[in-house]
Amino acid sequence: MRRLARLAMVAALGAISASTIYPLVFMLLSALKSKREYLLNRYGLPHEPTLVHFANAWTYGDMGQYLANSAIVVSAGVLLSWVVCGLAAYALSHLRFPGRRAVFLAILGTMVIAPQVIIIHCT
Amino acid sequence: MVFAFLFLAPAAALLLTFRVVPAAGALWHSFTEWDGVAPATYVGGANFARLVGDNTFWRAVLNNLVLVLCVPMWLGVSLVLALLIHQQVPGWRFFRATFFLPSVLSPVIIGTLFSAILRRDGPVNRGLETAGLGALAHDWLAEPATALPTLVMVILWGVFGMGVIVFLAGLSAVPSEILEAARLDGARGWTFVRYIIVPSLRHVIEFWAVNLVVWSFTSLFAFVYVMTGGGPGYATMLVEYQLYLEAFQFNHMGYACALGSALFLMVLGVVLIQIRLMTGGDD
Amino acid sequence: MRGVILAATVVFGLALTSGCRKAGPPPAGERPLPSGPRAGAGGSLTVWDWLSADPSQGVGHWLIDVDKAFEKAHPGVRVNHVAQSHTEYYQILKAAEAAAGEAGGPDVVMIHQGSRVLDHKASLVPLDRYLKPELRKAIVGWELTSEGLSADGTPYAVPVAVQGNAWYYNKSILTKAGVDPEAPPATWDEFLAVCDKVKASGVAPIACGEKEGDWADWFLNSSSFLELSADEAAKLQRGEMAWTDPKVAALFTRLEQLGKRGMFQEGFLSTPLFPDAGEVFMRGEAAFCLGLLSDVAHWKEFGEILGEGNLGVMPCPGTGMIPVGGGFAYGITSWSQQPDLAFEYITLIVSDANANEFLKQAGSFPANQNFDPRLIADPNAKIIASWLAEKRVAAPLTGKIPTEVVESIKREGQRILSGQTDVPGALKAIEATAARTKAGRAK
Repeated sequence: MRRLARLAMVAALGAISASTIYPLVFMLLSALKSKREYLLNRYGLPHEPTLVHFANAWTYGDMGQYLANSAIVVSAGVLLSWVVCGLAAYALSHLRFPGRRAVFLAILGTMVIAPQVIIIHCT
Repeated sequence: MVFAFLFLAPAAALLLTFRVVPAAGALWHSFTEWDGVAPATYVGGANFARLVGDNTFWRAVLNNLVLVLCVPMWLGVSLVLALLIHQQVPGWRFFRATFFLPSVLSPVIIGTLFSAILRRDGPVNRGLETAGLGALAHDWLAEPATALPTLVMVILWGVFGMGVIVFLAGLSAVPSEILEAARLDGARGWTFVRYIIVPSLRHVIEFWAVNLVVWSFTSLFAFVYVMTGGGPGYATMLVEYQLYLEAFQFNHMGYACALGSALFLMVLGVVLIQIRLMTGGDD
Repeated sequence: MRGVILAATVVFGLALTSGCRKAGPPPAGERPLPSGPRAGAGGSLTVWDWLSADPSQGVGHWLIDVDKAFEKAHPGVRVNHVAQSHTEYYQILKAAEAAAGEAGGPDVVMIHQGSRVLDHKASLVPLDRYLKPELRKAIVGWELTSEGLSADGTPYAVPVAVQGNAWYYNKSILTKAGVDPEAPPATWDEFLAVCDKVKASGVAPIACGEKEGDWADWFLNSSSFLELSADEAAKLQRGEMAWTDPKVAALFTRLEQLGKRGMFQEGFLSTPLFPDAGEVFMRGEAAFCLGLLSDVAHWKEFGEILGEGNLGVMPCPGTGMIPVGGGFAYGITSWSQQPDLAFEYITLIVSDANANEFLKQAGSFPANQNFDPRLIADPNAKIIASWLAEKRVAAPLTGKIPTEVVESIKREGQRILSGQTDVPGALKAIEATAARTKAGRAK
C-alpha cells in the first residue's frame, strides 16, 4: 500500500514536471517550423525543420542588440542589487539604531507601488 | 550608528528616486486632469468621484480579490511540493530542476505559450477529447466562466517553482533533529505538516504569502495583456490593467494616477490585514 | 536565528521580486529609440511605419524601392527606414513624442487616418503650406486627416492608401452547400439563409476573430448601413444621438443574432482577428470572412491561397455599401529639422508612378486616384474598384469616435457574443462612456 502511494506520488510529480517541460518543447518545435507548417501542423513534430526564424530574429529582429542590452541590464542589475541590498540588509539585521523597524517597514512599503504608476512619471 | 546610515544610504537613494518620488508625483496627479504631454489641470476630487461610480473599476477590484483568495492555493502547492522534495522522494533532484523551469521564463512568454496551448483546438482540449473527456473541452481563456480560473492556473504554473525554492531554503534551515524526533514520535502526514513544519517555517510562509499578495496586485500585467486583454468583456480585468488602459490607451493620466493611489491603498490594506491575521498581533 | 532566516529571505525576496517586476513591456520612456543620426541631421531622413517588417514582398518591398529612388534623387541623403511593431506602434510613437527631437527620432511617421491623426495632432506639422492644389485634388481621404475631420480643415497627414472592409466568400464552400456562388446574398435575410445552409453542410459560416473585440467593431462598421442613414451615423458620432437609440439597438441585435445562431467557427472568442481569423478562412474552414481592401487580409492574399476563381467579394448585403477609411497616411513630425525634405519624401510616396507601384506590388488601393486602372487585373479588385468609383462608400461608424468609446464598444461586443450581457445592457454601458467622454471634451 505504501509502495502504491509512493508510486502515485512520484507519478503526480512526474506529471507536473511534464507540464513544465512541454511548453518549452512546444516552443522549440514551433521555432523550427516554417510559417506555413505552423499554420497547418501546429502541434506535431516538424516535417521540414528550418532555422530561418533564428536567422531572421538575428538580422531583422535585431536580436544581437537586444541580447547585448539584456546582458548589460542583468549584470548591472545583479551587481547593484548585491551591493546595495547586501549593505542595507546587513544594516537592518545586525546594526542597532533607532528607527530600525520603521525603515524596514518603509522599504517593504515601497514594494507595494504598482510599476505602471512609476512609469507614468518616467516618460 | 553612522555605519547604519552609510549602509542604508544607497538603497534609500534608489528607492527615493525610483519609487517614492514618482509615487508622490502620481498622488499629486490623482487630483488633476492630464494627458501626459500638456500641463495638468487641477480638478480636485473629480477623478475619485468617477472612480467610485466606475463599474469597470469595481469589477477589477472583485477580480483582484478573487486572486487574493487564490494565494493560499498557490502557496499550498509550493509548500507540499517543497516538502516532498525535501524528503527526497525518488527523482527529487530532477523534479527540483523542472519545477523551477517556469520561473526562468518571462510572463510574456508564459502568456504567449499558454494562449496557444489553451486554444479551442489546442493540445489541452485535444488531449481531453482523446481521453474521452471531450465534454470538458472549453475555450479556456475566452469563455467568461473559465477565463479567470484559467488565468489563476496559468499563474500557478508560472510561480509555483519559485515558491518551492523559497520553502526549500526555509526547510534546510530547520534543524533535522526536530524533524527526526517528530517522526520518531509517530507524527505523520497532516499532523506532521500542521504541528511541525508550519511552525518551523512560519516566517518563510508569512513572507511568501505577503509577497504573493502584493505580486498579485502589482505584477500580473504581462499575463493579462498577452492572454486576455482583460476580456472577454471585463471578465479578467484587473486594477493594474485598467491603470494601463487609462494611462496609455486613453491618455487619462490623472485618472490613472487616481487608480494607482487607490490600488496602493488597497494593497496596503490587504497586506496589513493579512499580517495581522498571520502573526496574530505579536512580533 | 529566526532573524537571520527572515533577513535572508527578505533580501532574496527583494532580489526576486525586482526581477519579477521587470517582466512586462519596457516602460515607454525607457525603450531605446532606434540608434541613428539626430532627427534632421544633414544626410539622413528617418521614416517610421508598421508595414515594412517583411521586406521581401508587398508594402515592405515597395517601400524599399521608394527609398532607393529617393536616395538617388537626393544624393547625400540616406533614408533611415525603421519598421516598428504594429501592435505597439502608438505607444512607441508616444515615446518619440516625449523624447521630441532627440537622436534617432523620426522625421516622417506613418499614421492611421481618422481619430489617430487627431490624437497626435500636436506632434504633426500642418501641411497646408506644402500642399499643391494638384496633389490635393488627386488624393482622396482628406476628411480623415484634417482638422475637425472635415475636408476643409488643415490637413496633418497625407493619405496614402484607401482601406475598408468587405465580405469575402469561398465559392466552393457555397457550391457544396447548394448555394449559387455567382449570386451572393442580396439582403440580410438571404445572408442568414445562406449561412444556415453552409452550417448544415458542416462548415462554419463566418470566420470571426473576437479575441481583442475587433471583429464586432468591423461588423458594426460594415453593417451600419442597414440601420443608419449617413445623417444618423453623423449624429451618433457627434454625440447628438444616444447609443441606446432603437436604431443602434437594431444594429447590435444583428450582431447578437449571428452569435446566437452559432454562425462562427469554434473558438472564435479566443481567435485574434489578425492573422488567425483570415487564416481560418484561407484554410477553407469558413465560408464568409470580413476582410480589408488593401495590404493584408484582402483579395490579393485570399485569392492567392484559395485559388483562381474561388474567391468572391460582396458589400453589405441589402445596401451595396462598404465602409472606407482608416487607411494609412504619412505625416511630418513637429520636431523634424528638415520638414521640407520630409515633405518631398511623402510627395514621392504618393506620386502617380508610385501609386501604380503600390497597386502592383502591395495589391492596395492608393489614395492617389491617378493610378492606371488597367493595372487592376484581379476580378475581385475590379469589383471593389467599381464600388469605389460609384462612391458606394461611407466613413466607418466607429472611425470618428474617441478611442475610449471604441474600446467600450469592443468589450461590450465581446460580452454580447459570450453571453454575459444583452443588447440593452451593452448599449447602456457604451452610452455612459460616450456621455462621459463628450462631457470631458466639452471642457
